[in-house]
Amino acid sequence: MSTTISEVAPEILEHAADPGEYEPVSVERRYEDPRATIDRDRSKHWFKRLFPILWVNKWPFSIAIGGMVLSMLFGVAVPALIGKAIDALPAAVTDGESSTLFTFLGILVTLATLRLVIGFFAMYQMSRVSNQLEGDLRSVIYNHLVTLSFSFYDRIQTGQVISRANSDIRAIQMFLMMSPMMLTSVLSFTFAAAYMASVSVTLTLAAMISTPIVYLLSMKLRKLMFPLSWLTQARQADVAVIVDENINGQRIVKSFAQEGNQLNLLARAAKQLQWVQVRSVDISALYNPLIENITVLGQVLVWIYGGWLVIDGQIQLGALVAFNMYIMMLQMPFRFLGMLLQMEQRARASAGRIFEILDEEPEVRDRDDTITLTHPKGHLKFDNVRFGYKDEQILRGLTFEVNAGETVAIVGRTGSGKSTIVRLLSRFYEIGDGAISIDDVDIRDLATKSLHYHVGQVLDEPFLFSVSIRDNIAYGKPDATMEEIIVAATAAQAHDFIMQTEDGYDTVVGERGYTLSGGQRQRLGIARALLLNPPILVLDDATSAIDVTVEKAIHEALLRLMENRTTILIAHRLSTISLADRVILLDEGMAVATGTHRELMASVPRYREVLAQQNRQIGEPEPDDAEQMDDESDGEYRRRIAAIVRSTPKPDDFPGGGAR
Amino acid sequence: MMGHGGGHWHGGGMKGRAGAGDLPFAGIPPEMLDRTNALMADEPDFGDIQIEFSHRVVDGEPFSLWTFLAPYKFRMLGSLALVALTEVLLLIGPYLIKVAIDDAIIPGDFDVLAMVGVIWVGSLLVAVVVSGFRIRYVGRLGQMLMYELRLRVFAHLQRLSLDFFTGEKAGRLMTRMTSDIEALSNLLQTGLINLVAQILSLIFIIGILLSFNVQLTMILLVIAAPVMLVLTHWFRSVSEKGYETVRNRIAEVLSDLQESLSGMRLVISFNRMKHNVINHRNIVGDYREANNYTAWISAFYNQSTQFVDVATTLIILIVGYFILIDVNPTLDPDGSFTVGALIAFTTLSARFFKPITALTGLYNEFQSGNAAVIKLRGLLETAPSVMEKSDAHDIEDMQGDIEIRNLSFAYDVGEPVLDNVSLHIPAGQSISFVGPTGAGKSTLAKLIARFYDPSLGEVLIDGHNLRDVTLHSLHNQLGVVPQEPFLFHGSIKDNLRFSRPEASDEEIMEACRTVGIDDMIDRLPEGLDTPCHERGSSLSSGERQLLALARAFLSRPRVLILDEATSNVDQQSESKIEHALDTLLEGRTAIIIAHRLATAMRADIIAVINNRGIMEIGSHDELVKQGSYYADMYETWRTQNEGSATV
Repeated sequence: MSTTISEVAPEILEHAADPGEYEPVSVERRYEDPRATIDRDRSKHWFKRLFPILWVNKWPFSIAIGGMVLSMLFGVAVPALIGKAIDALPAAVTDGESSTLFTFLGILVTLATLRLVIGFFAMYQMSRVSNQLEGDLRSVIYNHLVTLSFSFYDRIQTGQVISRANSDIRAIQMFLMMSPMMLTSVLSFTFAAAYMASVSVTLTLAAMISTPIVYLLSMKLRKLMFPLSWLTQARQADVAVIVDENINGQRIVKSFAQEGNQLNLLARAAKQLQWVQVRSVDISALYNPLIENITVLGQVLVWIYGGWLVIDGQIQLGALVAFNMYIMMLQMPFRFLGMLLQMEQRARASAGRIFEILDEEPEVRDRDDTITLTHPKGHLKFDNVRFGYKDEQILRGLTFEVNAGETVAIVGRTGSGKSTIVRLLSRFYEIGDGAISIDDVDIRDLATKSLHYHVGQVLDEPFLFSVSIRDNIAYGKPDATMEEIIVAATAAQAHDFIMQTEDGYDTVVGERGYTLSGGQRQRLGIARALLLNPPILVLDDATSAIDVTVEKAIHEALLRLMENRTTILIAHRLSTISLADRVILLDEGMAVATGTHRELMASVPRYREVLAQQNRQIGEPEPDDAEQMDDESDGEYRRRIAAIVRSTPKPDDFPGGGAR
Repeated sequence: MMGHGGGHWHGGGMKGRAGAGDLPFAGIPPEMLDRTNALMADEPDFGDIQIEFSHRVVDGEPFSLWTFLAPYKFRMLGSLALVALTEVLLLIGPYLIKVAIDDAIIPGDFDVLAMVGVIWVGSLLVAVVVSGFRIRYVGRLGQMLMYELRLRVFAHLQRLSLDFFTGEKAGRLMTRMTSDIEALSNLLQTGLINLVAQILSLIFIIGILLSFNVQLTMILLVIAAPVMLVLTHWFRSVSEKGYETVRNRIAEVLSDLQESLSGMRLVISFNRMKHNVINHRNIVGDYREANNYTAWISAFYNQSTQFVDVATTLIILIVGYFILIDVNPTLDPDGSFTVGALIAFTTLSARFFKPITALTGLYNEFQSGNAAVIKLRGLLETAPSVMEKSDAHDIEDMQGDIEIRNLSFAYDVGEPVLDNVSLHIPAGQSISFVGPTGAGKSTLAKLIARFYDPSLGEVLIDGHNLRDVTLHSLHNQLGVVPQEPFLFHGSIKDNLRFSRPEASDEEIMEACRTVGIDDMIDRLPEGLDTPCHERGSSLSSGERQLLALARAFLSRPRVLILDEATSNVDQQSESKIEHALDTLLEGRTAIIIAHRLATAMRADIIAVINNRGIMEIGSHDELVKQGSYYADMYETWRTQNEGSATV
């Protein structure tokens, strides 16, 4: 099968000419894009900056608010009407004058039904708006992230962005969703209080007397509980850390006979956890009954003082019943106001962190009048290029040329700037000084996407996404046919091992999938680049984990698939270097010599030194990789463990109180 | 090692991480910082708790809620009594309302009204005391139970053998100790108590309602209660599914984001931005739809329960009106049904729904609590595959003479890894195991450390059959350095001292000097106190391995096992390790499993392990002379090495 494919291969991997195809899309759009983004003006208040995203939903939002207010009004009217109905009751019973009673009951039925419909609609609409807002904010962040440059990704930690995208967005959404609800409840408080005051001012005061006390107690409780629940979580995480390490390091624990000490360690952490939880219990044992019963005290006052007023003939029994029902409504706003303030603080802080991402400017930008690169011949030129990351100068006036169709190996010791060349050629970073050109056009004048399309690169440790092998190979050309994918995989000598995996091309790989060896990953990385068949190809140590004979086969396939391809090989191994027409020796950020391997071996002692040194160092990771080592910091680790702890259902630690 | 005493999270550190996300350990608002620190200053130092630990499993009844709680049955009964009392106190109020209306307000009797007030306030005072006491009593009991359970489960984990900790099981074990215990804790502290409380409250409420009026109570029970029950049940089951979808979808959103971020360099270089943006929008959109679905359910449930509430009141008023006309048309306050009773009935009916909705929720809590009990039972019933005999004896002063007699071993039945292996390693000698991957080298070493027991045959150290000795005395005199140097969270010192907690600082530095990391430690700003996992001071894999070696050295093992300890390190560290080996191996029995021949060659004896057994054994020179498998290996290695040297 593979022979037939390799014969037809060059035609299948035909080059895209239409500039529109430089940005492949093969996913069906199922939702419209967010219609707004945040306000760019950094000096504005956080809410104003977010406002445009809210404003596009102004109609559903206003309707929801209107509905909520209406439903709230109905809600406030219910107790008063029940009171009226009760007042009409004795007359109806004793004198048979039931029309007033049934009028009120009729109104009540209508109101309750209207409230059911309107309340449901408004609440649902409000949630929809806030969900829309959350989704839009997520997309706005994502859409911004893909515009940012490599330098941003060098700087940030993935975990931080994820946490912003998660808890911070939620904090904002919570605030925007809860605040209208809370404000309507404050409004309902006002109406209820007004009605009550119209019946009896003194009784209203009596009914409300417990409210501030309950509020103060709740605040006090909350203040006391915060450190406790914080410490509880910290101590739970401590326990989790010990368990986690004990499980993962069990071999070490066993081989040093430390089981007993581990148990002591856990006992200590569990004791600490017990201590803080008992403290919480003690505090809630003191405050919660107080809060609950003082709330009831308001009710007692209403019935006793109100009863006195009824006997005295100042008010009617029905009003008393209504007051009794209003007491709960009076409690809510006080609690909500405190919560609202807290939520605003959280939302503001969260918004600040999200803006930090959204205010990031891409380092590399297209110029206004760019040239689209089409069918480049592949003549590359670095002219006195200077570049450094942060303070560290890497390239110090690098000058070299690669002719169209030439295969050049770049050799240099670790840190000489080899890998940097690759990144600069694709303009992942902006160079400090000098110029890089393709076919004599400065890459800064090119449309970046067309540049990326024509310069393929394969890194030594290719990142694989947790999708199928097929989708990984087709990453740069998601609409590729199966035939094209097999051609690319065959050329990268990956087809055979792919067919040996359980699901073939459908096997899911990557972080959450099937584990591949280093060499297999590299071959997939090569296949991924080959699928686009770029006229300029850079292999950055891309075959370091691949067997020498396989490496040779890959290069033969490369030649067969496209003649006149410009290829840059960044290499350690002699086997790789021998595939190049010419070698460039890099030292101290400059090209110090060029020629064939033989020539350099014969005439440049430095070349021999570098090669000898590298062959001793095989397997030693370059500093770049060491930094990316999957080594969590203590903070991240704690957070991960905390996430485990948090994911378990926990009773709400908000001091409810008074609800009964 | 873990007990930082809390100093870790104080203000200064917090500021340093400002903006690092508001997760539990970073998000202390400034106004709470003082309180939090004060609380931590209050935390007692529990010092070194010494818990009795034995490898032997204590026989007991299988773990169940019943056997777990049985020792505390009187306290549990005490809790229940307190709960019942609290519920009764809560229901005095509605009853007093009826009395107030019928006996005071309608007849216009101020004295009765005052008395009702006094009794009511008095009942509230009692309620404050009783429920305060209840919360304290039940809470403390629950916390004590949780402490016991944590220790019990963890102690059992320590007993289990190594095969239990491999692979994906680790993640699940983690949840046994965290979420399962948490679920059980919820069940005990809120679930059980709530169940009793709600059932009692329901019974009391129905009792009082019946005393007010039987017909109205029947209406409530037959019409309103089933509606509410059905509604709540519907809501629970539908919203549970809805929220699960939400959780799955948000997980998809976040994992897509995470992968995009990790692979962003590829996204950029393959011009995948537009594709990914649309794809992410789709995922976010699906998540939004899932959210909208749950919003629909919540809004519907929320509003309809309110409606049922009001509708019930209306029905009660209407029916109450007809009953009044029927039985007490003169509104006599002493009549069998009164206005006061009707009003009290309406106020109490709202409260009637609470236990009903709560009970449907408790069902879930019970299920997860019960599932946790079953899982914990499964864990606690798992017997360690390496069992210490009840009459096991200590190996005193191990010399390190190892003898393996006719040993066979299989991880899975029918697939032997080692078959009838016999080997003698004299005390103080070092031996290398070489051979192809999967030949059983590591397994043999693990059998010598008694991480597993052989299926057939025996391993003897100093003439003691390993099956007859205590695990503690064996492992105490044995050191293992595995391929992955596992370091615990804590300082370098904590990690080194792990193998021998009583080691002094000098001894620790001595161990560092021996393996040649003293200069590296000197270079670190905090020296031995440098945390092993803090970013910026991350150690390379070679340095980690050297630390692991120092750790093993510090424990002064009589038998040292290096299981591929040098395969993942760079050249420089490898040469350091090889250098250190000379000192490390001196005077001890050593088993070296090495990937690289250069390391393997150093041993006194070399055993080629292949085809489930020992293929060749002898000194390096003997084996080379013999001209078989090892000689071939050596030849290949030699030419390769020379080849690269001549480049």
